[in-house]
Formats: sequence, C-alpha cells, structure tokens
Amino acid sequence: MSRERNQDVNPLDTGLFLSHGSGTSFCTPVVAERLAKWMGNFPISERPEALRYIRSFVMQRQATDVTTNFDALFATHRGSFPDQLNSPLADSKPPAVAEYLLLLVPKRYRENLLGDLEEEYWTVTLPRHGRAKARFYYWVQVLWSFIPVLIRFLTKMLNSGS
Amino acid sequence: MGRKHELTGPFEQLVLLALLRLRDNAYGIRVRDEIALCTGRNPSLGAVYTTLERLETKGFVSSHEGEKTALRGGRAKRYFLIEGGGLAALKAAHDATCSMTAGLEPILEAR
Repeated sequence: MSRERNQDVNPLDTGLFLSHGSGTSFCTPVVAERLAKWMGNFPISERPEALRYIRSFVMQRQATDVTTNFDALFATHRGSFPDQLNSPLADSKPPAVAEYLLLLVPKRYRENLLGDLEEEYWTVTLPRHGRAKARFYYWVQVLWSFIPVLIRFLTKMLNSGS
Repeated sequence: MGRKHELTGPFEQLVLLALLRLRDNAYGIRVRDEIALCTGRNPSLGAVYTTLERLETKGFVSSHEGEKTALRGGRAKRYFLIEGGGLAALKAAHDATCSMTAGLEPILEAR
C-alpha cells in the first residue's frame, strides 16, 4: 500500500497516516475508523479525554514510540479538524430507525438497551465485520430484542385488563 | 417463601448467576455475553432486559445508572446488583435442582 498522503483517500478503506515527531506511521482501517468515530462523536469540551484514549489505544496496538499529533493528522488528512470532519463517519452510524421499534421497552431501561446495542455496534461488529454487516447485525439485534419486549408488553396489558 | 418470590424459570436463574459472576460490572450487554459464554445460548438483549425488569419488580435485583459515554451514543449504562431476596431465591432453586438430581448423576453424566 502506498504510503503517500492523499486527501481523497477514504480512511475507512485504506487506513490513515499518523503524524508524529519522528515522521509518520501507518494506521490500519480498523484503527482509522475508531479514531474517526471517537473524534467525530465527542463534543469539543470532551476531546482532550478522547485524545488521551485514542493515544493510548494507538500506542498499545500500533507502535511503541509514537507521539501522535492528532491535530496534524486530521488537518492533513481531511483538510479540517474534527468539527468539519464530514468523512464517511456519518454513514457508519447505526440505523436510527431501528430504535423506534424499541419504544415498547419501559422508559427506565430503553436508553440503556439502546446504549448497549450501540456499544456493541462500535466496539465489536463494525471493526470486525465492516459497515454493511454491522448495520444488518444491528437490525437483527433490534428485531430479536423486540420479540420478548412485545410479549412482556402484551402480558402486562392482559394482566391489567383482567 | 411465597410463589411470587420464586424464580419463574431457568432464564431468571441464568441472569441472576450472571450478575453474581460479573459482580459490579453487570450491565445488559455484559450479562448477555456472560450467559452466551457459559451456556452457548445467545439470548437477545430484549430478553435480558425484560427479565431484569421482572427481577427488579420482585425486589431480587437493584439497579443504578452509570456513566454516559460517547461510545454508547451519549447513553448511560445501567448496572444491576443482586439483592438478598434474589440470592435466597437462587439458593432455593439450586437446592431444589440438587435434590431432584441426587442419585441421577450416572444417567445425566452419561448423556
């Protein structure tokens, strides 16, 4: 794979280059996706924390002596720092429509269940299987979760009616 | 112990056992993964949450919200803890299973 920087390269397909003090290091597509996701999702006030996490992640997985300059990384690669990071990230988000199916889940648990599904999407299925399969798996999980929730809902309705 | 304070099915037992195994890191997806890892079953998160809701209504478990993280779309985790009543119900179910299987080990282990 060419190690030349290319503004048009999709990091989710090819990976990224990490700029640091002693040059650049290549970052695999999986890591690139995680980096982009993390940075894209964090509000500005929380980004220092996100950067610390990403830095430790990259240090563990990618290289031993990388002092990553993430500002330079995103500025170089996408032409703008994360606020305008209009990369393929948006398309990688789990399908929002699926969430409506879970409106029957008691409000007390709904957000927690959706959070679990999203956590699994970002940490397990997306890195392991790619976007299309991850989104499909997310739908399966939502539908699979909908059945017991519906049964529980109907049971409660019947019990309250009798 | 009244019937309403009993466990109504094996899945409730599995969920309570998962809570015991996970201790203070028991939230929805971890509970589901623990059950899948130990039993080979792959329950849905919906099934796990409806069961936890039922157990919480019975007073067998309690829950509290954890931190909100970007990784979860800004949503919080809900951690579950087994309570004394849950532990007692689990022990009663375990004792009943042990009583019923006493003497049947050769048959059960042969299968």
